[in-house]
Amino acid sequence: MSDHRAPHNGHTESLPDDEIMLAQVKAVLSPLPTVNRQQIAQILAATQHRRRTPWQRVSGRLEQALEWWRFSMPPLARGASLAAAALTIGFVARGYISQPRDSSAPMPDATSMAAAPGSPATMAAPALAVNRAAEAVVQQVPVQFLLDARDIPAAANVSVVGDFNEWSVSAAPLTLDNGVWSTTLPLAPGRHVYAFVVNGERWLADPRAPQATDADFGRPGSVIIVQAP
Amino acid sequence: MNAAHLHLVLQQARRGDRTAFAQLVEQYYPRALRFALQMLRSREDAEEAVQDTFVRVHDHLAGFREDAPFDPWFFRILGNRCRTMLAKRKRHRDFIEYGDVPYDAAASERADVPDDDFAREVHRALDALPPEQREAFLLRHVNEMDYEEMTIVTGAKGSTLRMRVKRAVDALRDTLQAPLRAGVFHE
Repeated sequence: MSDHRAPHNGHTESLPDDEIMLAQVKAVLSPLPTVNRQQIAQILAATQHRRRTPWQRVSGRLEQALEWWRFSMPPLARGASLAAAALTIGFVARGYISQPRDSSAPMPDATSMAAAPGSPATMAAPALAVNRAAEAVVQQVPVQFLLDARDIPAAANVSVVGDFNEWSVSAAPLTLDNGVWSTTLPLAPGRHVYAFVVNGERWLADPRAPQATDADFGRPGSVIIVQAP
Repeated sequence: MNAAHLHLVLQQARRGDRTAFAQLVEQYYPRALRFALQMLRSREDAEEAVQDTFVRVHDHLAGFREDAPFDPWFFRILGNRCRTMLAKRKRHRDFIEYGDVPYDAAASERADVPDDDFAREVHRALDALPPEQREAFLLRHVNEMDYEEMTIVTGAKGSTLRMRVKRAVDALRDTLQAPLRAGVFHE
Protein backbone atom coordinates (compact mmCIF):
# COMPACT_ATOMS: atom_id res chain seq x y z
CA MET A 1 0.00 0.00 0.00
CA SER A 2 2.83 2.38 -0.75
CA ASP A 3 0.48 4.67 -2.72
CA HIS A 4 -1.06 5.87 0.55
CA ARG A 5 2.22 7.43 1.43
CA ALA A 6 2.95 8.97 -1.95
CA PRO A 7 2.92 12.58 -0.70
CA HIS A 8 5.94 11.78 1.51
CA ASN A 9 8.25 12.21 -1.48
CA GLY A 10 10.49 15.23 -1.96
CA HIS A 11 8.33 17.63 -3.99
CA THR A 12 5.59 17.85 -1.37
CA GLU A 13 7.89 18.70 1.52
CA SER A 14 7.30 22.43 1.03
CA LEU A 15 3.52 22.03 1.40
CA PRO A 16 1.89 22.97 4.71
CA ASP A 17 1.44 20.03 7.11
CA ASP A 18 -2.35 20.09 6.74
CA GLU A 19 -2.19 19.72 2.97
CA ILE A 20 0.21 16.81 3.19
CA MET A 21 -1.96 15.15 5.82
CA LEU A 22 -5.12 15.77 3.76
CA ALA A 23 -3.51 14.43 0.60
CA GLN A 24 -2.55 11.24 2.46
CA VAL A 25 -6.01 10.87 4.00
CA LYS A 26 -7.64 11.39 0.59
CA ALA A 27 -5.33 8.81 -0.93
CA VAL A 28 -6.63 6.32 1.63
CA LEU A 29 -10.30 7.22 1.34
CA SER A 30 -10.69 7.89 -2.39
CA PRO A 31 -10.30 4.40 -3.94
CA LEU A 32 -13.70 2.97 -4.84
CA PRO A 33 -14.72 -0.20 -3.00
CA THR A 34 -15.18 -3.57 -4.65
CA VAL A 35 -18.69 -3.79 -6.02
CA ASN A 36 -20.76 -6.89 -5.53
CA ARG A 37 -22.52 -7.32 -8.89
CA GLN A 38 -25.30 -9.19 -7.16
CA GLN A 39 -26.22 -5.99 -5.32
CA ILE A 40 -26.63 -4.10 -8.59
CA ALA A 41 -28.74 -6.95 -9.98
CA GLN A 42 -30.88 -6.81 -6.82
CA ILE A 43 -31.48 -3.08 -7.25
CA LEU A 44 -32.51 -3.53 -10.86
CA ALA A 45 -34.80 -6.41 -9.90
CA ALA A 46 -36.31 -4.42 -7.02
CA THR A 47 -37.21 -1.53 -9.32
CA GLN A 48 -38.23 -3.55 -12.39
CA HIS A 49 -41.90 -4.11 -11.68
CA ARG A 50 -42.35 -1.28 -9.28
CA ARG A 51 -45.72 0.25 -10.01
CA ARG A 52 -46.87 2.62 -7.35
CA THR A 53 -50.46 3.25 -6.39
CA PRO A 54 -51.49 6.88 -5.85
CA TRP A 55 -51.55 6.23 -2.10
CA GLN A 56 -47.97 4.87 -2.16
CA ARG A 57 -46.92 7.95 -4.11
CA VAL A 58 -48.51 10.25 -1.51
CA SER A 59 -47.07 8.33 1.43
CA GLY A 60 -43.65 8.29 -0.26
CA ARG A 61 -43.75 12.06 -0.60
CA LEU A 62 -44.88 12.43 3.01
CA GLU A 63 -42.05 10.19 4.14
CA GLN A 64 -39.56 12.23 2.12
CA ALA A 65 -40.89 15.49 3.55
CA LEU A 66 -40.73 14.05 7.07
CA GLU A 67 -37.16 12.91 6.53
CA TRP A 68 -36.20 16.34 5.24
CA TRP A 69 -37.92 17.93 8.22
CA ARG A 70 -36.15 15.65 10.67
CA PHE A 71 -32.68 16.14 9.28
CA SER A 72 -32.66 19.62 7.77
CA MET A 73 -34.22 21.63 10.57
CA PRO A 74 -32.47 22.36 13.84
CA PRO A 75 -34.39 21.01 16.89
CA LEU A 76 -35.39 24.53 18.00
CA ALA A 77 -36.85 25.37 14.57
CA ARG A 78 -38.63 21.99 14.56
CA GLY A 79 -40.23 22.79 17.93
CA ALA A 80 -41.19 26.26 16.73
CA SER A 81 -42.74 24.95 13.51
CA LEU A 82 -44.69 22.31 15.47
CA ALA A 83 -45.96 24.97 17.86
CA ALA A 84 -46.92 27.23 14.91
CA ALA A 85 -48.75 24.34 13.21
CA ALA A 86 -50.60 23.50 16.45
CA LEU A 87 -51.60 27.15 16.91
CA THR A 88 -52.83 27.42 13.32
CA ILE A 89 -54.87 24.23 13.60
CA GLY A 90 -56.32 25.38 16.93
CA PHE A 91 -57.11 28.82 15.51
CA VAL A 92 -58.89 27.43 12.43
CA ALA A 93 -60.68 24.70 14.43
CA ARG A 94 -61.91 27.27 16.91
CA GLY A 95 -63.37 29.28 14.04
CA TYR A 96 -65.17 26.26 12.59
CA ILE A 97 -66.46 25.02 15.95
CA SER A 98 -67.81 28.45 16.83
CA GLN A 99 -69.59 28.93 13.46
CA PRO A 100 -73.41 29.08 13.71
CA ARG A 101 -74.84 25.58 13.13
CA ASP A 102 -77.82 26.87 11.08
CA SER A 103 -76.55 27.05 7.52
CA SER A 104 -79.66 28.94 6.32
CA ALA A 105 -78.79 31.89 8.56
CA PRO A 106 -77.07 34.70 6.61
CA MET A 107 -73.29 34.75 6.99
CA PRO A 108 -72.15 37.92 8.78
CA ASP A 109 -69.68 40.02 6.83
CA ALA A 110 -66.63 41.81 8.16
CA THR A 111 -68.37 45.16 8.54
CA SER A 112 -71.21 43.76 10.58
CA MET A 113 -68.71 41.99 12.80
CA ALA A 114 -66.71 45.15 13.30
CA ALA A 115 -69.90 47.03 14.12
CA ALA A 116 -70.97 44.54 16.77
CA PRO A 117 -67.92 43.50 18.75
CA GLY A 118 -68.56 40.83 21.33
CA SER A 119 -71.57 39.44 19.49
CA PRO A 120 -71.62 35.70 18.58
CA ALA A 121 -70.75 36.59 14.98
CA THR A 122 -67.23 37.67 15.98
CA MET A 123 -66.45 34.08 16.93
CA ALA A 124 -66.56 33.11 13.22
CA ALA A 125 -63.90 35.65 12.30
CA PRO A 126 -60.91 33.26 12.09
CA ALA A 127 -62.67 31.00 9.60
CA LEU A 128 -63.74 34.00 7.54
CA ALA A 129 -60.23 35.40 7.63
CA VAL A 130 -58.86 32.09 6.33
CA ASN A 131 -61.41 32.08 3.48
CA ARG A 132 -60.58 35.65 2.50
CA ALA A 133 -56.85 34.86 2.52
CA ALA A 134 -57.47 31.91 0.20
CA GLU A 135 -59.41 34.17 -2.18
CA ALA A 136 -56.60 36.72 -2.21
CA VAL A 137 -54.09 34.06 -3.31
CA VAL A 138 -55.93 33.24 -6.55
CA GLN A 139 -56.01 36.84 -7.83
CA GLN A 140 -53.20 37.00 -10.37
CA VAL A 141 -51.56 39.99 -11.98
CA PRO A 142 -50.21 40.05 -15.58
CA VAL A 143 -46.45 40.64 -15.54
CA GLN A 144 -44.36 41.32 -18.64
CA PHE A 145 -40.82 39.89 -18.85
CA LEU A 146 -38.46 41.68 -21.25
CA LEU A 147 -34.93 40.99 -22.40
CA ASP A 148 -32.97 43.12 -24.88
CA ALA A 149 -31.87 40.92 -27.81
CA ARG A 150 -28.54 42.81 -27.94
CA ASP A 151 -27.67 41.30 -24.53
CA ILE A 152 -27.90 37.79 -25.98
CA PRO A 153 -26.82 37.97 -29.63
CA ALA A 154 -26.51 34.18 -30.10
CA ALA A 155 -29.97 33.36 -28.72
CA ALA A 156 -32.19 31.09 -30.81
CA ASN A 157 -34.78 30.70 -28.10
CA VAL A 158 -35.33 32.19 -24.66
CA SER A 159 -37.67 31.19 -21.87
CA VAL A 160 -38.40 32.42 -18.39
CA VAL A 161 -38.24 29.98 -15.47
CA GLY A 162 -39.17 30.66 -11.88
CA ASP A 163 -40.90 29.47 -8.78
CA PHE A 164 -44.20 30.25 -10.55
CA ASN A 165 -43.71 27.60 -13.26
CA GLU A 166 -41.77 24.94 -11.34
CA TRP A 167 -38.56 26.11 -13.08
CA SER A 168 -39.68 24.43 -16.27
CA VAL A 169 -37.60 25.48 -19.27
CA SER A 170 -40.42 24.73 -21.69
CA ALA A 171 -43.31 26.35 -19.77
CA ALA A 172 -42.89 30.03 -20.73
CA PRO A 173 -41.02 30.78 -23.99
CA LEU A 174 -40.34 34.39 -24.94
CA THR A 175 -40.99 35.75 -28.44
CA LEU A 176 -38.64 38.06 -30.33
CA ASP A 177 -40.17 41.26 -31.67
CA ASN A 178 -38.32 44.44 -32.70
CA GLY A 179 -35.14 43.38 -30.92
CA VAL A 180 -36.88 42.56 -27.65
CA TRP A 181 -37.61 39.10 -26.25
CA SER A 182 -40.83 39.26 -24.24
CA THR A 183 -43.70 37.37 -22.71
CA THR A 184 -46.48 38.13 -20.26
CA LEU A 185 -47.41 35.77 -17.46
CA PRO A 186 -50.12 35.95 -14.80
CA LEU A 187 -48.44 35.86 -11.38
CA ALA A 188 -49.81 35.74 -7.87
CA PRO A 189 -48.98 38.80 -5.74
CA GLY A 190 -45.83 38.41 -3.67
CA ARG A 191 -42.13 37.81 -4.17
CA HIS A 192 -40.95 35.59 -7.01
CA VAL A 193 -37.51 34.41 -8.03
CA TYR A 194 -36.89 33.86 -11.74
CA ALA A 195 -34.26 33.68 -14.46
CA PHE A 196 -34.04 33.56 -18.23
CA VAL A 197 -32.78 30.43 -19.98
CA VAL A 198 -31.07 31.02 -23.32
CA ASN A 199 -31.01 28.20 -25.88
CA GLY A 200 -32.30 25.82 -23.25
CA GLU A 201 -29.07 25.73 -21.28
CA ARG A 202 -27.59 29.11 -20.34
CA TRP A 203 -29.14 30.66 -17.22
CA LEU A 204 -29.22 34.43 -17.12
CA ALA A 205 -30.41 36.78 -14.39
CA ASP A 206 -32.58 39.68 -15.54
CA PRO A 207 -30.06 42.53 -15.97
CA ARG A 208 -32.80 45.05 -15.15
CA ALA A 209 -33.98 43.45 -11.90
CA PRO A 210 -32.44 42.95 -8.45
CA GLN A 211 -30.39 39.78 -8.05
CA ALA A 212 -31.75 37.01 -5.82
CA THR A 213 -29.50 36.13 -2.92
CA ASP A 214 -31.26 32.78 -2.59
CA ALA A 215 -30.71 31.81 -6.24
CA ASP A 216 -31.59 28.18 -6.66
CA PHE A 217 -28.68 25.72 -6.84
CA GLY A 218 -26.24 28.58 -7.19
CA ARG A 219 -27.55 29.67 -10.59
CA PRO A 220 -28.21 33.34 -11.28
CA GLY A 221 -31.67 34.55 -10.41
CA SER A 222 -33.64 37.79 -10.14
CA VAL A 223 -36.40 38.94 -7.88
CA ILE A 224 -39.72 40.48 -8.76
CA ILE A 225 -42.28 41.75 -6.27
CA VAL A 226 -45.80 41.57 -7.67
CA GLN A 227 -48.19 44.00 -5.99
CA ALA A 228 -51.79 42.94 -5.38
CA PRO A 229 -54.19 44.69 -7.81
CA MET B 1 -20.08 9.87 -18.09
CA ASN B 2 -19.92 13.58 -18.93
CA ALA B 3 -22.64 16.11 -18.06
CA ALA B 4 -24.39 15.91 -21.46
CA HIS B 5 -24.45 12.11 -21.37
CA LEU B 6 -25.77 12.13 -17.80
CA HIS B 7 -28.49 14.59 -18.82
CA LEU B 8 -29.55 12.30 -21.66
CA VAL B 9 -29.50 9.19 -19.44
CA LEU B 10 -31.57 10.99 -16.80
CA GLN B 11 -34.10 12.10 -19.40
CA GLN B 12 -34.46 8.53 -20.69
CA ALA B 13 -34.65 7.07 -17.17
CA ARG B 14 -37.35 9.58 -16.27
CA ARG B 15 -39.40 8.29 -19.18
CA GLY B 16 -39.09 4.76 -17.77
CA ASP B 17 -36.19 3.49 -19.92
CA ARG B 18 -34.81 0.50 -17.99
CA THR B 19 -31.45 0.50 -19.78
CA ALA B 20 -30.91 4.15 -18.88
CA PHE B 21 -31.76 3.48 -15.23
CA ALA B 22 -29.32 0.53 -15.22
CA GLN B 23 -26.63 2.85 -16.61
CA LEU B 24 -27.37 5.29 -13.81
CA VAL B 25 -27.01 2.55 -11.20
CA GLU B 26 -23.73 1.35 -12.76
CA GLN B 27 -22.40 4.88 -12.77
CA TYR B 28 -23.37 5.89 -9.23
CA TYR B 29 -23.22 2.61 -7.30
CA PRO B 30 -19.44 2.59 -6.54
CA ARG B 31 -19.37 6.20 -5.28
CA ALA B 32 -22.57 5.68 -3.31
CA LEU B 33 -21.18 2.53 -1.70
CA ARG B 34 -17.91 4.26 -0.82
CA PHE B 35 -19.78 7.11 0.89
CA ALA B 36 -22.16 4.77 2.74
CA LEU B 37 -19.29 2.49 3.86
CA GLN B 38 -17.32 5.43 5.18
CA MET B 39 -20.38 6.79 6.96
CA LEU B 40 -21.69 3.54 8.39
CA ARG B 41 -18.60 1.30 8.63
CA SER B 42 -20.72 -1.75 8.00
CA ARG B 43 -20.93 -3.33 4.56
CA GLU B 44 -24.35 -4.82 5.21
CA ASP B 45 -25.81 -1.48 6.35
CA ALA B 46 -24.07 0.39 3.54
CA GLU B 47 -25.42 -1.95 0.85
CA GLU B 48 -28.90 -1.67 2.33
CA ALA B 49 -28.70 2.13 2.42
CA VAL B 50 -27.49 2.28 -1.18
CA GLN B 51 -30.18 -0.12 -2.42
CA ASP B 52 -32.84 1.87 -0.60
CA THR B 53 -31.46 5.05 -2.13
CA PHE B 54 -31.69 3.71 -5.69
CA VAL B 55 -35.26 2.53 -5.11
CA ARG B 56 -36.17 6.03 -3.91
CA VAL B 57 -34.33 7.61 -6.83
CA HIS B 58 -36.29 5.33 -9.17
CA ASP B 59 -39.59 6.26 -7.55
CA HIS B 60 -38.96 9.99 -7.48
CA LEU B 61 -37.04 10.45 -10.72
CA ALA B 62 -40.16 11.74 -12.46
CA GLY B 63 -40.35 14.58 -9.95
CA PHE B 64 -36.66 15.47 -10.29
CA ARG B 65 -36.18 18.86 -11.92
CA GLU B 66 -34.50 18.33 -15.28
CA ASP B 67 -32.26 21.38 -15.04
CA ALA B 68 -31.17 20.75 -11.42
CA PRO B 69 -27.81 19.12 -10.65
CA PHE B 70 -28.24 15.39 -10.07
CA ASP B 71 -25.32 14.63 -7.72
CA PRO B 72 -26.51 16.75 -4.75
CA TRP B 73 -30.05 15.38 -5.13
CA PHE B 74 -28.77 11.82 -5.19
CA PHE B 75 -26.42 12.30 -2.24
CA ARG B 76 -29.16 14.06 -0.26
CA ILE B 77 -31.27 10.89 -0.48
CA LEU B 78 -28.25 8.73 0.33
CA GLY B 79 -27.21 11.02 3.20
CA ASN B 80 -30.70 10.80 4.67
CA ARG B 81 -30.66 7.00 4.43
CA CYS B 82 -27.28 6.88 6.19
CA ARG B 83 -28.49 9.22 8.94
CA THR B 84 -31.60 7.10 9.40
CA MET B 85 -29.39 4.00 9.70
CA LEU B 86 -27.12 5.72 12.22
CA ALA B 87 -30.13 6.83 14.27
CA LYS B 88 -31.55 3.30 14.16
CA ARG B 89 -28.20 1.89 15.23
CA LYS B 90 -28.00 4.38 18.09
CA ARG B 91 -31.49 3.40 19.26
CA HIS B 92 -30.47 -0.25 19.11
CA ARG B 93 -27.28 0.45 21.06
CA ASP B 94 -29.21 2.41 23.69
CA PHE B 95 -31.67 -0.47 23.94
CA ILE B 96 -29.03 -3.11 24.70
CA GLU B 97 -26.86 -0.81 26.76
CA TYR B 98 -27.54 -2.83 29.87
CA GLY B 99 -27.79 -6.17 28.06
CA ASP B 100 -25.00 -8.71 27.91
CA VAL B 101 -24.44 -8.67 24.13
CA PRO B 102 -21.64 -6.27 23.21
CA TYR B 103 -22.46 -4.21 20.11
CA ASP B 104 -19.64 -3.09 17.90
CA ALA B 105 -20.65 -3.02 14.26
CA ALA B 106 -17.34 -1.52 13.23
CA ALA B 107 -15.33 -4.33 14.72
CA SER B 108 -16.85 -6.92 12.43
CA GLU B 109 -16.27 -4.90 9.27
CA ARG B 110 -12.51 -4.63 9.18
CA ALA B 111 -12.47 -6.49 5.87
CA ASP B 112 -13.16 -3.17 4.11
CA VAL B 113 -10.17 -1.44 5.69
CA PRO B 114 -6.89 -1.97 3.80
CA ASP B 115 -4.23 -3.96 5.56
CA ASP B 116 -1.99 -0.98 6.18
CA ASP B 117 -1.10 0.82 9.43
CA PHE B 118 -1.72 4.31 8.12
CA ALA B 119 -4.98 3.36 6.36
CA ARG B 120 -6.24 1.69 9.55
CA GLU B 121 -5.33 4.79 11.53
CA VAL B 122 -7.18 7.02 9.04
CA HIS B 123 -10.30 4.87 9.25
CA ARG B 124 -10.09 4.82 13.04
CA ALA B 125 -9.77 8.62 13.14
CA LEU B 126 -12.69 8.96 10.70
CA ASP B 127 -14.85 6.64 12.81
CA ALA B 128 -14.14 8.76 15.87
CA LEU B 129 -15.56 11.90 14.23
CA PRO B 130 -19.18 12.88 15.02
CA PRO B 131 -21.38 11.78 12.07
CA GLU B 132 -22.13 15.32 10.87
CA GLN B 133 -18.41 16.19 10.77
CA ARG B 134 -17.62 12.88 9.06
CA GLU B 135 -20.31 13.53 6.47
CA ALA B 136 -19.12 17.09 5.78
CA PHE B 137 -15.49 15.96 5.50
CA LEU B 138 -16.33 13.11 3.12
CA LEU B 139 -18.52 15.28 0.89
CA ARG B 140 -15.86 17.99 0.69
CA HIS B 141 -12.61 16.08 0.49
CA VAL B 142 -13.54 12.67 -0.89
CA ASN B 143 -16.54 13.47 -3.09
CA GLU B 144 -15.06 16.90 -3.89
CA MET B 145 -18.32 18.82 -3.65
CA ASP B 146 -18.45 22.58 -3.24
CA TYR B 147 -20.27 24.13 -0.30
CA GLU B 148 -23.39 24.96 -2.33
CA GLU B 149 -23.79 21.32 -3.31
CA MET B 150 -23.11 20.27 0.28
CA THR B 151 -25.88 22.61 1.45
CA ILE B 152 -28.32 20.80 -0.84
CA VAL B 153 -27.13 17.42 0.45
CA THR B 154 -27.22 18.19 4.15
CA GLY B 155 -29.65 21.09 4.49
CA ALA B 156 -27.06 22.85 6.68
CA LYS B 157 -25.80 26.38 5.98
CA GLY B 158 -22.46 26.95 4.22
CA SER B 159 -20.90 28.51 7.33
CA THR B 160 -21.99 25.52 9.45
CA LEU B 161 -20.53 23.12 6.90
CA ARG B 162 -17.24 25.03 6.75
CA MET B 163 -17.01 24.77 10.54
CA ARG B 164 -17.75 21.03 10.46
CA VAL B 165 -15.06 20.43 7.83
CA LYS B 166 -12.56 22.52 9.78
CA ARG B 167 -13.27 20.64 13.01
CA ALA B 168 -12.96 17.32 11.19
CA VAL B 169 -9.60 18.34 9.71
CA ASP B 170 -8.42 19.55 13.15
CA ALA B 171 -9.42 16.24 14.72
CA LEU B 172 -7.75 14.21 11.97
CA ARG B 173 -4.61 16.29 12.28
CA ASP B 174 -4.51 15.75 16.04
CA THR B 175 -4.83 12.01 15.57
CA LEU B 176 -2.60 11.53 12.54
CA GLN B 177 0.01 14.28 12.59
CA ALA B 178 2.07 13.11 15.56
CA PRO B 179 2.64 9.56 14.26
CA LEU B 180 3.24 10.95 10.75
CA ARG B 181 5.97 13.29 12.02
CA ALA B 182 7.49 10.53 14.09
CA GLY B 183 7.58 8.40 10.94
CA VAL B 184 5.61 5.61 12.56
CA PHE B 185 4.04 4.70 9.24
CA HIS B 186 7.27 4.71 7.27
CA GLU B 187 8.58 1.39 6.21
